[in-house]
Amino acid sequence: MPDPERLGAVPEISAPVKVWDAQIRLFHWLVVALLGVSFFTADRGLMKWHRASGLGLLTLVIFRIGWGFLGSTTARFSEFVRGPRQVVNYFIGMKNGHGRAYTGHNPAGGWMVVVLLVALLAQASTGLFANDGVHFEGPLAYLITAELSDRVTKLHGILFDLILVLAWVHVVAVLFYFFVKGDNLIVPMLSGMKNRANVPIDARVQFTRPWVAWLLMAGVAGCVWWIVH
Amino acid sequence: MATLRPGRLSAGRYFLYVAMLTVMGIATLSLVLPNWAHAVKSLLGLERPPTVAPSSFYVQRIAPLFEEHCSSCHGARRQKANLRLDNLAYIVRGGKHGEVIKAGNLRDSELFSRIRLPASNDQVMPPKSKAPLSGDEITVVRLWIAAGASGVQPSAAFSEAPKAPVRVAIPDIDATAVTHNRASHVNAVRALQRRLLDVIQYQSRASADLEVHATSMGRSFGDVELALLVEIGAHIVWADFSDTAITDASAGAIKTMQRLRVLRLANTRISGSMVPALVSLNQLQSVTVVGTAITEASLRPLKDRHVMIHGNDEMANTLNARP
Repeated sequence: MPDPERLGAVPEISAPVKVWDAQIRLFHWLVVALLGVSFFTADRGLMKWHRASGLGLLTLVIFRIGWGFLGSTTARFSEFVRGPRQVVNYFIGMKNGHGRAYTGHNPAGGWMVVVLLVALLAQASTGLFANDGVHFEGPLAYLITAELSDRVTKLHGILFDLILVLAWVHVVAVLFYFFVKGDNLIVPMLSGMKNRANVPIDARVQFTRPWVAWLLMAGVAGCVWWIVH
Repeated sequence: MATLRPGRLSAGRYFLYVAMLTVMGIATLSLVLPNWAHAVKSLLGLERPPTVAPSSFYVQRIAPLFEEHCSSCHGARRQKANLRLDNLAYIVRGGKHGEVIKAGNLRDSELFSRIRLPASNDQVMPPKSKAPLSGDEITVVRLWIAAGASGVQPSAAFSEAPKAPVRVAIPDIDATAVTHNRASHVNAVRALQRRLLDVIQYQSRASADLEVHATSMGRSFGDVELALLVEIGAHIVWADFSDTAITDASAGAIKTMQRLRVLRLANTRISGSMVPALVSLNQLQSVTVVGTAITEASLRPLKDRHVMIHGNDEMANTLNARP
């Protein structure tokens, strides 16, 4: 029997609505975990684990970019990356207390996703060419000069600080929705379900079949493995 | 705390809390992260840089050692693990994991632990690709830390420290002076080098004096070839004509080499007639006549001038024997 949700049927008014697919939720929390692991392993000099964690992050970010084109409605860039006018209007609406609801990312959050993805991609990519000057070199550091590798290493450190700032801004925004607007964004990112009241009445979310995600992940992981070996 | 329920907080109050949390977070990080803590203390004038005396053990023994072994990674240009070892203030400050030296406490001084690790250990410093510290150098570091890692304690207080290695400074070659000194014979040398391959060379890159290695030409080097060297004879200080075809007819040419200090004539067809020419070489220090027809008696004038004579064993034993 076909899944009515997948066909875009409007659920009952009292029922929670599924807005985030499992891939997006897994991506989100795995990135949180791997960022923590990356920081800890770099800080403690556990560079073999740092390498593994960084490559995991790189795989996830490339997967997420691919998923932004192939994934479910709320995962697609075309659905949440909006022009500057819409972003400004969103803020004005929110300030005036008559902002509209969004099924997935709102216009500001959409750009936050883009900025975070770019920063994470840059961070993981620079790690490939970085070195700790002592015992460890990124898997592609041999392709560039030691001097350039040193510069990339500095950039790698600066980007991490930038990601920390972005993560803090992200957390502040999420908590703003919770404490000020009464909209809990954390639970939906765990369960995938959003309160019906916080979803537009005409919301239609088309979920991509899981095998597409598996295929994409296998392709990305294979490419990353091939590049670093 | 009712205002902290979902949707009950005003935006203004929320961002006030965020600002407070941000400031508290930065303050906490400043206390927790050693580098931040030092930067804040330094900014507030709470951290005084340690005093360093020029005659101290640190300046004379420790700083040069760190400069040689550590500064390429922990210096002004690169600061791996946020650690600098090119200045006592930075050494005391430590790296991103905190202090690397605990004054008077070797066991808790990570720097000391790391330099003593076996070469097979991943944590050894300097890393495997670089030269390790010698036993004496480790001793020097040990004594310094144990005595308080001071910047003022004089070297005299470390009487048990191994002696400092003697550093020999090799002066740079003065290319202008070399060119000037060679100017009188450089063209003649070049011409002869083309004609007599691998026979003539300068003693060193900085020297205008010449060496002659005629042995490489064997019997194809004879009196005619030796006569060619007369033009540069005054600059030849070392010559090996062993196993060549020269004869006593070259005595005149050899006589022009007045600065010769070493002369090898082994296995040549020279005889006692060559000795007067050799005697005329006032700077001669060593002569080799093994396998020649030179007689014991004819070498007596050289022996009297304490010239080292390398002859047949029997001859050498007789002539070089001290009274």
